[in-house]
Amino acid sequence: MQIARDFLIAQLSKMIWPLLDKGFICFITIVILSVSVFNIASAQDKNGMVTGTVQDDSGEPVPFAYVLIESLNMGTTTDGQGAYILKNIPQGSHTFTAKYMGYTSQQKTLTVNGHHTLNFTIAQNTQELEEVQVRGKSEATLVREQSYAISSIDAKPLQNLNMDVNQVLGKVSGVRVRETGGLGSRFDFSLNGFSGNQVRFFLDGIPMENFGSSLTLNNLPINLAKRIEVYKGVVPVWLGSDALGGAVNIVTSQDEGTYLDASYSYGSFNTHRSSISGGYTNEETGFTVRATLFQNYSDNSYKVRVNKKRGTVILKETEEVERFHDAYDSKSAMFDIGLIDKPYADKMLLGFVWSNSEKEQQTGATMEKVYGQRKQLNSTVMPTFRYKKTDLFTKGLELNAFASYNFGYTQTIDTVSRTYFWDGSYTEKADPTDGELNRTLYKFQDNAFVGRTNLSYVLNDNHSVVVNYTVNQIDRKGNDAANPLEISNKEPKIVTKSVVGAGYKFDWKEKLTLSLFLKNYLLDGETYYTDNIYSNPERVRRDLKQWQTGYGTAFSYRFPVLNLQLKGSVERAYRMPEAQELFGDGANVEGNVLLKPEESMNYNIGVLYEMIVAKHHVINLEANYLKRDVKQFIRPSVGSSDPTSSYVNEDAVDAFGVEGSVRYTYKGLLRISANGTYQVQRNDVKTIDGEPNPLYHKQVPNQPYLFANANATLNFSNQYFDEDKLSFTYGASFFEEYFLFWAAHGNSDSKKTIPRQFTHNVSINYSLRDGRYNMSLSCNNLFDAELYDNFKLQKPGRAFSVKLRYFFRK
Amino acid sequence: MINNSIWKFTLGVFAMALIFTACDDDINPGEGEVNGAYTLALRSNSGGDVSTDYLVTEDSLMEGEISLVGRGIEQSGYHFYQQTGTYLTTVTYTDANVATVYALNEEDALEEQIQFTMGRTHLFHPVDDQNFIAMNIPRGGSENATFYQVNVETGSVVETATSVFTPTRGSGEQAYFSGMTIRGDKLYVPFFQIAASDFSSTQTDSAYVAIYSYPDLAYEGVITDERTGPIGAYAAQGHIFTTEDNDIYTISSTAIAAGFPQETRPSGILKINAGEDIFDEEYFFNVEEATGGYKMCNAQYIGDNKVLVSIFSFDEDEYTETDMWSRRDVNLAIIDVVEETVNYIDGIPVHYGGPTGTFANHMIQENGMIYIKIKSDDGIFIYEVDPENFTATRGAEIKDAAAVYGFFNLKQ
Repeated sequence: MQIARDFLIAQLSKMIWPLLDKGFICFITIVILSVSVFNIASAQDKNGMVTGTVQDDSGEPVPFAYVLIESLNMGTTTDGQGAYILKNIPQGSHTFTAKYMGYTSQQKTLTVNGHHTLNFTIAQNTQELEEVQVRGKSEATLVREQSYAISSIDAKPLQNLNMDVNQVLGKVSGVRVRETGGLGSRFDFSLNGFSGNQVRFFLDGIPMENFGSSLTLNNLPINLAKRIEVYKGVVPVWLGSDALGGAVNIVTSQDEGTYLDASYSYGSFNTHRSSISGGYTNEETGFTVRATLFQNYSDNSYKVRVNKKRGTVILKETEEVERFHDAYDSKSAMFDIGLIDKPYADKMLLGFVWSNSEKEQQTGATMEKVYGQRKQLNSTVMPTFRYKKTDLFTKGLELNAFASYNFGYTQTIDTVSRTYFWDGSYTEKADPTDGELNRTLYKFQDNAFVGRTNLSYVLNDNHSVVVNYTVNQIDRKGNDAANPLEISNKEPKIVTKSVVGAGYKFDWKEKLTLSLFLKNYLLDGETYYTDNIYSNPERVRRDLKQWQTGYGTAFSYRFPVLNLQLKGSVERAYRMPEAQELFGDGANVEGNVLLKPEESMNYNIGVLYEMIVAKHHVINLEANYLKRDVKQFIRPSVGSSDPTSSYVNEDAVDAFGVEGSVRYTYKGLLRISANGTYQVQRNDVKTIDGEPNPLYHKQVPNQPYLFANANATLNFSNQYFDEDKLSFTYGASFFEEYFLFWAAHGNSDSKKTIPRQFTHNVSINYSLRDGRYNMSLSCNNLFDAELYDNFKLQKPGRAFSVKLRYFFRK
Repeated sequence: MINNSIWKFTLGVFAMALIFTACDDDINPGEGEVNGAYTLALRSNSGGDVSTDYLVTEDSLMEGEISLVGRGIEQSGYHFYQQTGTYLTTVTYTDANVATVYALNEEDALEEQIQFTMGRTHLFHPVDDQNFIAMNIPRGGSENATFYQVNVETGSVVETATSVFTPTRGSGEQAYFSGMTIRGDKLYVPFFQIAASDFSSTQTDSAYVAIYSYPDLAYEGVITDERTGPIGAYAAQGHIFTTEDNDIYTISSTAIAAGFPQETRPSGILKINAGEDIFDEEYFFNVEEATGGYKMCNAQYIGDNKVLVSIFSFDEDEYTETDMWSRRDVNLAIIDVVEETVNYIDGIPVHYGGPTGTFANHMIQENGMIYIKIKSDDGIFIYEVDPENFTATRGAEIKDAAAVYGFFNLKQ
């Protein structure tokens, strides 16, 4: 017992001490300033106070109802128990109004002179009130208010716009999506400085890491999503994955019922995107069938600025050229068939995911290398199974299960021995057996199985527990028809990763929430290696088994009257090495079977504040501070004395950041939001070979560190017809210039940077019949700025598009 | 109240913006450049894709520290370097393969001359003061290599494809080229064998040299010799050279620690006599025997029949699991190929014989002295080597760099 307590204290102090640095002080200052600025002023005058409750006609308390003194532009909302407090009311007679979405309002007049109690009873109303739509909490808001550090995006208002999931994610604080080009281009998603497979993606809670590279976030149309949840650093047990730096869960709008959602868009650079999604449910038999099909095509024939060339010589003059070999073509389909609302299952679905994409490659690592024929093919062929049962055996016990197997492949095709130029012309290479980079038809298949079982039990209003088990197995096979002698898979390359998690959640009166969880990560597999290259050259078996236990907690507390919520979360997170890192790619990446998992201690503290400035004017503020302490980062190390590179456990880094966001809404008419992120990842290696490390605590280069987004939407209803809606949206994003390599190295004249970027997007949307028929016109990169996410890889200029969408739900 | 709230709101946003800005503690370098005849390509001391090379100029080599902090022309990613007369060509090793040519201006500062693109190349050899020849070494089963004849003043690049009909062609192994020397109208290119998918090989019982006509680079044939193993090593360039008497000598390392899959032949030196295209059957300098069992790692000809070599300080009994490619613990020595003598240099610690040491451009010869960078447990230092008396003096220390990938005197 003593030992356990000591351990707990030691762990707690380990968690708390690192927080006390400059970043944290910045954060605290933000919180204090924001809160005090909004509250101190009103605390000064000493007038009357009114408290009371709001109930509905059946006597149940109404949480989050308004209580307003409209003549004074004062107001508040009730807490979870329907209670409210209004302070600092000037003496005199005032009219109080209580109202809530879906209820009739009630008015009472009271002469205020000291402390009074005033209770309201409001009746349910079938007619929805236009003005209170503003206040109705969307699911996204409810998710945002969980104790985890989450950015939750309500995708519904965006569904009529011509956007994919990536473009929406790119506007979230702490997130940068760095693309190498136009539609379908390679991208790197980074969340608070973590990137690659340190951040895990989920589609309706299903891990996407084995979906293959054909079904990715940049071809998933936003219509499919209802909501996107970005978990920062601390990931709940039920997602069950080894996410080192956070997770993104895309919640689709595919649910039970009968519906149809069809859209088509056409835009600049011959871009066509369409999607159709429909479902049918027979309410008597419970038979349900759903299908989603979507397609993306673009020539990506946008113009870029490059240096002129004379033969092989690169000139200083630049010219504008059009990309000629950059088309992207992807098609995906998802089917589900099964039964719902049966005694033995709430949901039992057999599904099939199919996806195919072809991506032409226009440039190499910079735009100086031009390709004319090199391309990549991706395919996903994946059967799935889903099962859900609530109140299994006993009330409150819920079982969720999922399984899938992917047979897809990835192939690179490079079979013409040519050197291409920007005008599309080419010269034949001297060696006819070469390729544009190197001749290849390399194809690899990652046969991947994912299975997950999740059992949750809600004991009562206060206590709930969850247990989750996820298993993930990858069996990589590769072959190259252009180089049949390349035998990279003589030995088995199978890795199994399982994550077992258990969590407990305590809720108290919708004010306090506390979650505790444990996750056990297990890696299993085998490989062969040479024990002693000189004395014993025989290959011997090596067991890859290793395991780690991570843990974490998340809490939140809502101050009942202040509309203020505080939240904090901590997790010791791990990411187990991947097959590619352990075994290499059979060509240029050597395997390293001795890799250890990446390990990080993640901390978040956040505050959410809502204020109703006056009737219909609502402001939401959110501020977060985060800190990450990463040990044994897995990084590629490039050729020291060895001709191939391999992954190694290397740098320790720490990161801290602050994020803030502001939202303002006025009725359904106007919505303005803005967010800003400042985050720094620093080298945390004190000494190298006993010598002080000159880069210790220096900012890690090639990472955006200061960026911001702003968005404004103006909605007009019932303009020309009943149930029509006209809206205008303007969005802007900004990020500050950053260095490609360490800031301290080299002279300042020769430093390479990714320049400061400012982009503006606008769109108009018109809907008829309450959102059944929709049409939108958009312009991205309005001022045709030269945009870069990566050094010397230019993104598209100004682009227009039109989107038509039909939506129906029974 | 509305106005009041908006005012407060604005103030709040402003305060946040202020703090975001105040938290920014970005550092910007401000130290001055030093100009000089010597150019060093220093690779920054950090892993992964955020490290690159910096071209730093210096006017003295024997004192103080040489650092890339706030100094040096930033390159992009990893580079190869080739000195051709007074020109320095740097070639990127990404798929773009952009070559940038530098020369010193009147202030002894590096100035960019011309930029051009070429194919991906691995092996370089200067021909004269304006031209060099570079070679793309294929892997993955192909035995077709490409030569690039480059003029650094005009940026012209001429490609010539070639094949090597090695004795093992079709066996699943292929040639990996490891050096070049031009003698008269012929180019001699030694190679070792590698498997299609990795650097293993079953062919370590013979030395191989491919012979091409020069300058039209037509393949003429391969000569072999089984007294020693393959010539050169991965990323080595100095293991074949032509002496002032027009004799060609070749260096066979044959050490596992230098990258060979197994040790089946002694480390030694072979000779191709002037006017002949076969190995001299009378000549074989068995260096392993002469040193009492130690193999050679790297070599670079310094003139007058003398070659600077690094020799492993441990033998096969001391190999460990991680010694493949380790190139650890070498001593510096000078071998006279005619006298067949080995003389170790005094005053240089046991050091790392790593990749930067295997390139031709890791040393400077000036006023009868050799200046070479040595990486050991003490750090990275420039040493001045007296090749007559076999002594060395420690000079400037290289700071903040993981390695020196090039070391040139562009004023010679």
